[in-house]
Amino acid sequence: MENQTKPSAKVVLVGLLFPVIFIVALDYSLNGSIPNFGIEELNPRIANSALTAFILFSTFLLGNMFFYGESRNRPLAPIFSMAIAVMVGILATIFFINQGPMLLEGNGSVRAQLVYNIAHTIVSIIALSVSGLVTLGMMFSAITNSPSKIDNFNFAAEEE
Amino acid sequence: MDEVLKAAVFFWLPFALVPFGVWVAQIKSAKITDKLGYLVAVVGGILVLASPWTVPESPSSAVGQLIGFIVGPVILILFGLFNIAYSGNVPVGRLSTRDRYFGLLSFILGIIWLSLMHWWELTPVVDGGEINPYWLVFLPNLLLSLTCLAMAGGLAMIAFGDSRTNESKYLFSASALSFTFIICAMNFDSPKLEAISFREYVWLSIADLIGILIGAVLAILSFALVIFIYEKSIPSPESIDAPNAEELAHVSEVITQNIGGDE
Repeated sequence: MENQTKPSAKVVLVGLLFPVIFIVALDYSLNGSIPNFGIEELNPRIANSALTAFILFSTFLLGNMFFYGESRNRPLAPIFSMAIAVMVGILATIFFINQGPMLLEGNGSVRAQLVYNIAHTIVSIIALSVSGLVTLGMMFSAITNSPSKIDNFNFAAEEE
Repeated sequence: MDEVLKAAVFFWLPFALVPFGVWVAQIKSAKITDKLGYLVAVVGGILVLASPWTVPESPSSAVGQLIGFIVGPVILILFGLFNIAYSGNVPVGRLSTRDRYFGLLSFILGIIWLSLMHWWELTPVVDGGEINPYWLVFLPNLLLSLTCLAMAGGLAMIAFGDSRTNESKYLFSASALSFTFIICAMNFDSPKLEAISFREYVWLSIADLIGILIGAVLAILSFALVIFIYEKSIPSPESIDAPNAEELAHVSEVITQNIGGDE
């Protein structure tokens, strides 16, 4: 009976996105739009963030490829492929930033924007990691500090 | 020394040493690499924290300053959660009730410390009195992701757990508190930051999280694609001949010796 009232995995996914949508809707309803701030400011951030995250995550996965390749007879093949993916990401970033002020967020040069992007993404990933650890810690604390689900009487009966 | 080279040597190189050291420490084939890896990571971490003094003119050193500012409250929060978790119903290594209260105190102190970094004079500022630009990236990202992850975590406990409704309330409360913090900061000025500026940073933070999600998914897809193509290119193993009579007799003998038991 209880299983029927349980939320599905889709609800969990919606729960992940719902607060963001709610914050945006509530802020827009309460305060309206922000003066001199719009899609022109948001688009470069999404693009820069996506490109930098791709490079950083690919570099991390490249490290994992080393262990994967080690377990195969031709260890260099997957590493080589992944290195190409990282290179493509870096070249794409340089190409897009070079297309004029489209992706430059108040930085004067391509190099400054690249360095800023990396620092920015690292800080964002630190924030994500901290919130992930706090959530896991709270979850674990709540579970271990609740009354045990194992009934001692039943447990003893099962042992017999 | 050239300014760019100085930033590379005193900030970016030590920063790269942290993940590199952790990575080296995971190599189990040699015992020495374990300690050496962690040593490299710790030295890298210390040099990053020292970057506001070693390369004060580099804008990147603001990241080092931010880490120095947040390391205190974050350690208090995580240490507190560790103590609370391990003083509960754990089969081994259970901590005392005193540790639970100490953990709770650490957790609350860490949260208050982090909150005062926005609502009081503890906000990290760089030379010139301006707020550390990376703090304005970190705080909205932390609050937003905590709101979303705690909400999803609470729902996951109900969805996948067995009668975990009561426990999930703690996560929903954390999500609600974090949400309230964001809404308050978007509507009330703090001593160092106006509400309208915080609103901009929250919107940019949402853009940031969307970008990170896109980038991470693309990287994982390309990683999966490389493995898929590589695995497909590996020839299937050659078939071997069926066992002959002699081999079958040997197998029967081994099985006979190993089945049954003492009467």
